[in-house]
Formats: sequence, structure tokens, C-alpha cells
Amino acid sequence: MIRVRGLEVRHGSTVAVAGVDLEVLEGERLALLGPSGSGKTSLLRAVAGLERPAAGAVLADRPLALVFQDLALFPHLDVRANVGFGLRRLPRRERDARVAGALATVRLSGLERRRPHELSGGEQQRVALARALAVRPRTLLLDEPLAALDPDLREALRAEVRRVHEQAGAATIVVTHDRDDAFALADRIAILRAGRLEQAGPPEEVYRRPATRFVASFTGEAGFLDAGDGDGALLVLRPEDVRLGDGPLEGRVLSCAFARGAFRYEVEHRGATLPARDARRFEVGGLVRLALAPDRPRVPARPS
Amino acid sequence: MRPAARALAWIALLSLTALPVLALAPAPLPDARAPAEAGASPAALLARTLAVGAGAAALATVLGAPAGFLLGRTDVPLRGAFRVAFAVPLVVPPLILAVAFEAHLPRGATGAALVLGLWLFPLLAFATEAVARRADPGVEEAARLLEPSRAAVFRRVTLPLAAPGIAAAALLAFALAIGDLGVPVALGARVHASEVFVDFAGAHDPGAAARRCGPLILLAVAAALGAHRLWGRRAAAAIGARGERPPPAVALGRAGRALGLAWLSALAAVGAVAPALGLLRRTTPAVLASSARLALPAAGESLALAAAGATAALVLGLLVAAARPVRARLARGLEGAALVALFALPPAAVGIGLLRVLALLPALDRAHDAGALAVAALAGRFAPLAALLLAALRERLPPSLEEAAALLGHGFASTLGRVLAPLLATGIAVAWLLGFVLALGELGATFPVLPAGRETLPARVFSIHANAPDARVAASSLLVFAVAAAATAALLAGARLLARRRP
Repeated sequence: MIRVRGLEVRHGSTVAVAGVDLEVLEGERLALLGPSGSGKTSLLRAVAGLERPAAGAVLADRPLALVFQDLALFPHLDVRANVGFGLRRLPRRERDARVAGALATVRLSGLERRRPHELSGGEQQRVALARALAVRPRTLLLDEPLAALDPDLREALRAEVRRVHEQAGAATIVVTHDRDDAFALADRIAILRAGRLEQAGPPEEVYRRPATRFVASFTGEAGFLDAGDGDGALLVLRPEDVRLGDGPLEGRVLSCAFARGAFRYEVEHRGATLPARDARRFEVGGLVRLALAPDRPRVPARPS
Repeated sequence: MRPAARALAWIALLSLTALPVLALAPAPLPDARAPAEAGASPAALLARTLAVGAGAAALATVLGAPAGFLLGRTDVPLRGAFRVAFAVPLVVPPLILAVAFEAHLPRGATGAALVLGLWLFPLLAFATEAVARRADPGVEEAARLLEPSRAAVFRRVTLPLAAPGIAAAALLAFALAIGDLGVPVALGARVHASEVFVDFAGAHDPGAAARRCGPLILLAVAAALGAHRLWGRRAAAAIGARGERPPPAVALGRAGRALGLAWLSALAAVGAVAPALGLLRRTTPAVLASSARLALPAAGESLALAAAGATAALVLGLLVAAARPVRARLARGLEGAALVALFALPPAAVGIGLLRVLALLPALDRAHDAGALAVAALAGRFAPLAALLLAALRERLPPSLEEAAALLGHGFASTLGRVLAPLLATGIAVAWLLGFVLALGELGATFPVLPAGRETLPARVFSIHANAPDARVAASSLLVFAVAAAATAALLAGARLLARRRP
């Protein structure tokens, strides 16, 4: 279990993390999602004990393993020695068994004698995961584990990360700036902005019920329409909430791009730019009928 | 664990460097108004010391900086050979250069400044080469699009960007020049360092010698701190270029290449060839053979002391470098400044300071008799250099490697042994070889603390210079030159061999 209470991390006069509370249960995967400089890596390093908190408290079960963004594989050691680096106090037989088990989990058996520079990017990533897994962590931290990989490899490694987590059964935090990674890997997503926690919840909740305009924008395509009730609230509209081609409303097509089997549109309606998807083609600049899904979540127009 | 290791490493380093210097403090500074012997009033001495240091630094800059640009940024041929040739005058004790050129140079401060400038020009050349090669090629490419004249781009962009680095090297050269003992004594230049020696060895007045060290230490440390600050500024300006492609070599054209080649050849001739030939002409094979026989114990002493001193300096430097905080920029900067200042301490001040420590702690007598104090002097002298070199290399490693080791349960010693030492193996070997080569030629720090009846090769030349026949002095100097040149060759060959073995 990981428990973070009122955590504040400072780098000189800059506040990297400001009063964050978090809890990750055993066996749970939490994704820390946020843009560059939002404090997610500082938070992760504080959980690992690599950053000294300026205030607050961090509790994390041990053993703890961290997969670094740059992997931190020891270039002078082979795969076996890298994976067994945290096991030096174990008897040799047990150490060998653990290393073999960890390598089998990430499907790297047979590459024990290779050095890191003799491996592909994906294989290096797996060695880092195996090294973390080998210590049988109760707390598993992953700092942008897939950031350096190309999209195809990324997809494959997501499954690898999930498998490693399931095998470890640890309380896991995955830091990422990629929302696809966050949604694919996490049971719960915490969105950070400028060192503060904006919202934490299951993926579908932060997507369907964003608490702020920033969360809505950062977790997916979103358009914001004046709710019209006088309190300055905005309705959040996802592409799937905007139906084109029929409906009681009218909008103007601002842009159109084909991606992943459908056209993606930006449609102007009542001064707002709304995202939409449709298999049919509508002319850019033309008017189009549209319908909006009911019961859309509201967010404050101004950031708090 | 790291803070404890850091504290221990620094206590050990400071007790070999700052402590001896502090031990000089009880001696009051000389009174500037006190009547003094002719030509040696504190003010005149200070002025002459400044003049010799500034003259040497200026000459080294005028000779070395163009050579550095030629080596680092042009297509002039034989650059590798010139780097080797330039390493020779830097590692040969400057006293030997003074002996080699004494017949052709004016005696006194002018001669001392010329010899010290010649000794230090490779420092400027190598520093200029380093900053020139670290220039961001994008900046120059942008300048070339706006300013077609290559000379104007060099004057308006390349040179200003390299200037702080060159100035830093010049300041360090100044600090090293004013701390040298052998050259001013050999050429009869009355500067602080030589007067320290006169007080110490001539007048047998360690207290007076200690008093004289004060201004010398202040000057050297101030210059070194200035150098560190300027070098840091240059390094900051180069961020972004780091790890990217090096700037392209400038094609000089036939005339330019010939001119560059002539400049580098002249420097190599004056710095590496002329001293050896000059000394060779002043001696005979018979004298050389007998001098070699007589100098054999001193050669053995030199090699043993240099090996022990370099090893102690390496261990200390490695501990300091390994315990240095990786992410705390301020602490790292302060430690860097302290290391540069400690390296620039006048060697004679360290040596005489160690003697004063010995006077305060008679229990160290046996260590002194066994030569341990001389080893300590060498360790204190070159540990900061080893620490600076290894710390710079360590900074190239991702900090996450050590953090990963820590999270996987490894403490400072284990991380040092299993991660840092293997990854820094090349640097460790180079640091030891560099310490060994420099220790072979060291004079100022070791001379005061050598046990009675024992001498090193440079100390032998220093002792016989005033009294022995010229042929014997030349022969002994030639031996020192040969040992230093051979050690340099070994250093460069070792560095090259090890560089190929990097993982």
C-alpha cells in the first residue's frame, strides 16, 4: 500500500508538488497523468525516497522497485547480473531461480548473457521490468515506462507491464504524460497539474465526469459549450456526444481529418468548437445538422 | 550513508591540503611598512609575483590559445602528434625547462615569466581546444547565414563564446605560475615562492616562510576561484551542445594549413624538442652515464613516491568524486570551487604547512622519516585534480544508475565498487597515470617534507643546480626530462588503450 498525505516537494524556490493526498491499495494500479512539469516524477521520486519532502508524509510498503524513465540498466553488467542486482543477500540458488523467473515473465529467457547495448529498446525495457519484478516488490513504481518506444512496441509492452503488475500484486504507480498509456494501464487515474491533484478516479469516471476543464482536455478530445444557466458553467462534450447529419441544432464544419477509420471533425456551434466523429464526409465550411447527447457533465468555466 | 562518506572523504582531503595551510596561520603576516632587505619589501615582492604570474599567463595564452583553436576546430594535419608533443612541457618539471633555457634567457622575473609561460602554454592550448570543440555548431551556422565572412564569425561569435573558458585557463595558469618554486629560484627571480624557499631553507626560518605564504595563498586561491566561476559560465553556455554533434572542422586552405602547421611545429619544437637538445649539447655521454648512476637512488625514490602519492591521491579523489551530490547543483558547484582552489594552493605552502603540522604533532615523526609525509603532500597536491576529473566523468553517467543501485539495496561502498568503479575504470586509470606523471616532477610540496638523506629527481636537480658543474646539472635535468617524457608516453598510450575498452 502507498499512502501520501499533504505531500509537498520543492526544488529550490519552485514548488514541484503542492499538498497532494493519494492512496494506492495493494494490487491496485494508479496512473499519474499530467503534462511535463506537472510534478508527477517528483511525486514518484518522493514515494521512492529519492526526493526529500518539504512537507507531508509518504508511506510505501517495502520492498519497493522503480523502473526509471531511462531504465538505468548497468551497462557493464549482463542481463542476468542486472536482473539479480537487488538480490545479493539471497543464497545463490534462490537468486538464480528468481532471475530466471523474472526473465521468463517478461519473455527474455535465453538472453541472460547479453549486455544492455546488445538488446533492442523493447528488450531493454523488459530487462528493467524484470529487475523490478525480481525483488518481489510490494510497491512498484514506473516512470514513463513506455515513453521511449515506438507505437507498435508500446502496445506490446503495455501488456507486459500489466502482466508484471499482476505477477507482483504490488501497489503500483505509473507516471505518464500519455493518456492512452494511462487508460490502458491503470485501475485509477490521478491527474496532476502544476503540482496539484486535479482529480483522481477510475478511467471511465475521469473521462466521463471530469471535474475541471483541464481534466476534460487532458483526458481526451473535448469541446466546451456554455451551459446557459447563468453560473458560468460549461458542458463537456466528447466526440461521441456530438452526432452529425441530423438533429435539432446546426453547426459549421471547421476542419476534417481522416484517422482510424473515421473522419474527425471540429464543428463550430454557438461560438464553441466541438469535436465529432463520423464515417461520412461533410464539407469543410458547410453547415451540418447536429444533435448533442443529454446529461453532459459541467465544469467551471474558470480554472479554480 | 552518502553524507557520512562525503564528510569522511572531505575531512581526509582537507587534512592534507587546507589543514597544513591553516597551520601556517599562527605566523602573522609581514608588515608592509617594515624595513626589508633590498628588493624584497613585501610590496615589491607582491608586485614582482603578480608580474611574473601575469606575464606567464599572458605568454601561455598568446602561445596556447591559437594552438587550441588550430587543434580543436581546423583541418591542420598531425593534430594527434602535436597533442602528444604539447603534453611534454606540461609534465616536465618547469625547473628543467628553466635549466634548459637559462643560458638563452634573461635572469630574474622576465626569464621566470618566459619559462613559466612556456611550461603552461599547453594548459591554454588544451583548454581552448576543449571549449572550442564544445561550441554549439548551430550558433555558428546561424551566424554564417547572416555574416558571410568566416573571419568575422570567428571574431564575433566563436571567440566571444570561447573567451570565458580561455580566461579561466589563463587564471589557473596564473595561480600555478605564482606557486612554482623551481623556476624563480633557478633564475634568481625574487618572488613570493622563491622567498618562501629562501626563508625556509636558506635562513632556516620556517616561521618567516609561513608568513610569506599568506599573500601567495590568497592570490592563488582567488585566481583559482575566478577560473572556476568563468569555466562554469562557459559550461552553462554550452548546454544544448552537449552530447550533440561536435562543430565541424574549418578547412583552412593550403596557405592557412601551412601557417597553422608552422605555428604548431614551432611550439612543439620550443616546448618539447629544444629543451632536450639544449640539455644534450651541454653534457657528454660520460657525464650522462655517471649522472644516471648517481641519480639512480633518486630515480627509484621518485618512482616509488610518485606511485604511492598517485595511488593515495586517486583513492581520495575517487571517494570525494563518488560522494559528491549528483542532483544538488549548489552543493556540487561549491565542492567544485573548493577542489579547484585546493589544487591551486601553492605547493610550497602545502609542504611547509605539513612541516608545521609535524612540529605540532611530534607523533608524526616516524611517518615523516618513512616518507609518509611526502606521500601525504603528493596526495594533497593531486587528489583535488583526480576528484575534479572523476567527478566530471561521473556527471556523464545517468544519476538514475546510482539511484537504482540504492533502491536495490546497495550502500555507498557497494555502489562505488559494483557500479561507479567499473564504469569509471578508464577515468580511474587516467587519473592515476596523470597523478603519477605530475608527482614525478613535483618539487614545491615534497621538497620540504622529504626525509633527511632522501631526494627525488627534481629535488636532486634543484639541489645541485647552484653548485655542480654545468654538464652534470644538464645531465641530471636530461634524466628528469627523459623520465617525464617516458611517463607521458605511457600515460597517453594507457589512456588510448583503456578508451578502446570502454563498455
